[in-house]
Order: sequence, then structure tokens, then C-alpha cells
Amino acid sequence: MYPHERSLVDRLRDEPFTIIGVNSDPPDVYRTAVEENDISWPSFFDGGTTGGPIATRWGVRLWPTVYTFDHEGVIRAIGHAVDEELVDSLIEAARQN
Amino acid sequence: MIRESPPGHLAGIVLVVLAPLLLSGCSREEPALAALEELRSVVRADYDTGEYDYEGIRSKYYPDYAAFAQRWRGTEAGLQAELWILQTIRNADLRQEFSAPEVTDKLDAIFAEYGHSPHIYHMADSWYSLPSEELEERFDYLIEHSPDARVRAASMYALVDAGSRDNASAELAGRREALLNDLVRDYAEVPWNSTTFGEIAAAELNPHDPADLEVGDRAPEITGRNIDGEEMKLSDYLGNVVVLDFWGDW
Repeated sequence: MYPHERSLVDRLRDEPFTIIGVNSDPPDVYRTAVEENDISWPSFFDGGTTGGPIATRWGVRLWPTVYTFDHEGVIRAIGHAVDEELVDSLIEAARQN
Repeated sequence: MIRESPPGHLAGIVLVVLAPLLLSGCSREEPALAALEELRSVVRADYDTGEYDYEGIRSKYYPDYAAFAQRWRGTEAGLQAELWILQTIRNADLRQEFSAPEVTDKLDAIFAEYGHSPHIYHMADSWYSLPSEELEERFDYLIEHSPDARVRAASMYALVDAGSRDNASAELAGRREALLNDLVRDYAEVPWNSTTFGEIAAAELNPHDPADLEVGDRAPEITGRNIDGEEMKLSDYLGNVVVLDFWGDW
């Protein structure tokens, strides 16, 4: 998943677009993953375990789970991978506003 | 004081004699954990050859874990070895190769040895591989009697988890909210993974309604922190298209 997300972030660097993580790793695992995979986007730290407070509140039980929001914060997709076409069309809509 | 009273003097001598033993008792923990790590890496390497399946590898190393648990009895690593053995017996029990009394006997032996140790925390932490009906009364015992706040809190959260399972008794399921409220009230600052029992219990008590998390709904706010403790809010990114990725490195 990292290479895909990395290239998406690179390609959309100048667009109104952000990846935000909710990370379930223990701190040392998270730090190593960020360093080794050039992860540039921010993550909420969710207690260092699957089933942390944010995942529990959102009812997430499978990882990865990916929500896509439009520029007004409305949920447009829920899945287990990034839908790049959807992201492009949402950015297009955001630009026209 | 020791100088003046013969019994005290005697106690002094006894202490001098016992001191190395007491010290060696404390310092067994670290070598035990190192030895456990060594055993685990041997098992892992053997498993990685692909020659054994999950159950095969457990059968093969059962005697090693049994010897380990005996050798390092009373230590944290010793308890972890016992939990590995318990899970192996439990797995076999599910396949009807062991009778249920063996599971109960093993549980009794573990509680007899470790029931008053803070390390029994690992039991609450790995309850899900264990027969929950057997554990309920034991966790209740720990909640009542353990002097260690983390053991009590972990036991309560284990019961919350067990009570959330499909096969939970109505009685256990009915205790869920009271247990969570107790955790929030009395154990808020006790560590759970890298957060606290207060945080996780509050989330369990107030989950978002799934009906509010569907396509077309406005995303609820998330306030939290990054790994460096800096505050973050989902709403800081309004105006951007956002991919919210629940992820882990595995």
C-alpha cells in the first residue's frame, strides 16, 4: 500500500488533498515504518494497538480501512484501498468551488 | 538495634545469608525473558522452513515449553510459557484430543502459581484464546483480590471483551456497561497498550452510531494526537479531499 499512497501524495502535492492515517502500531514499529517507507503524511496515534480508541469509536475491525471524504467533509467512499479515480473527481469538484 | 538484641542479631545473619537468594530471585526475570526470546526465535525459524503447520509446530515444541515453564517457574517468562501451553491444550481440546478437565487443571495450576503476581496481567491480556466460561469466575476473583491495579483493570476489560462475543451469556453481556463505567471512574490513568484504560473504556461507552458513518454522512470529528503528542483534528483538513486510512505496519 505504501508505494501507491506515496505516488498519490507526490502526484497530488499541489492539489487540495491529504492522506491522514489512524495508526495502530506500537510506537517503535510506527517510527520504523515511517522511516523505511518515506511516509510523509500525518497519522493519529491510536493507542499502539488494533482496537484503539479511535478505531473502536469508528467501529473499525479490519485493517486497512479507508474512508474518503470530499472537501466539505462528507463521506464519499468506505473501503479497504484508495479509490484513485474517485479522489481525482472529488478534487476536480473541490477546485470548481 | 541489631547489635543490642540477640534475636535481631540472628535476623541480621539470616538476612545476610538470604540476601543473595533474594537478589537472585529478582534477577531471574531478565535471563528468563532472554531465554524465552531465544526459544521463540528457534520455534519461529523452524516454522519458517514450512515443514510444520501451526499445530505441528506446537506439538513439536510442547516439551520444550513445558520444561521452560518448570525451569523459570514464578517469572514473567514462565507465565508466558504457561499461557502458550494453555493455548496448545485448548486448541487440542477443540479438536477433542484433550478433555476439558485438562484445560481447567492447567488454569487452576496457573492461578495457584501466579494468581497474586502482577504478571497475571498477561492472562487477562490473552484471554481470547482461552475458554471464557472458565475465565469469568477467575477474572472476578482477580478484580476482587489482586493488589495490582493493572491486573484488576485488565481483568475487567477482559470481561467486557468476553461479554461482547456472540456466545456470551446474557448475564455477562449485561455487566458490560457497569464494568466500563468502573474503568472510566477508577482506572482512567492505568496504562493499556500505549494509552489508558480510561481512554479505551470511554470509546467503548460512546461509539459512533454506524448509521452516522455511511456514504453521504458528514464525517464525525476526530481529536487526538500524533506519535509526538502534538494535537491533531480531522476538521483541520476541511477544504481538502481527505483519505482517512486506518493502518498498521504488518
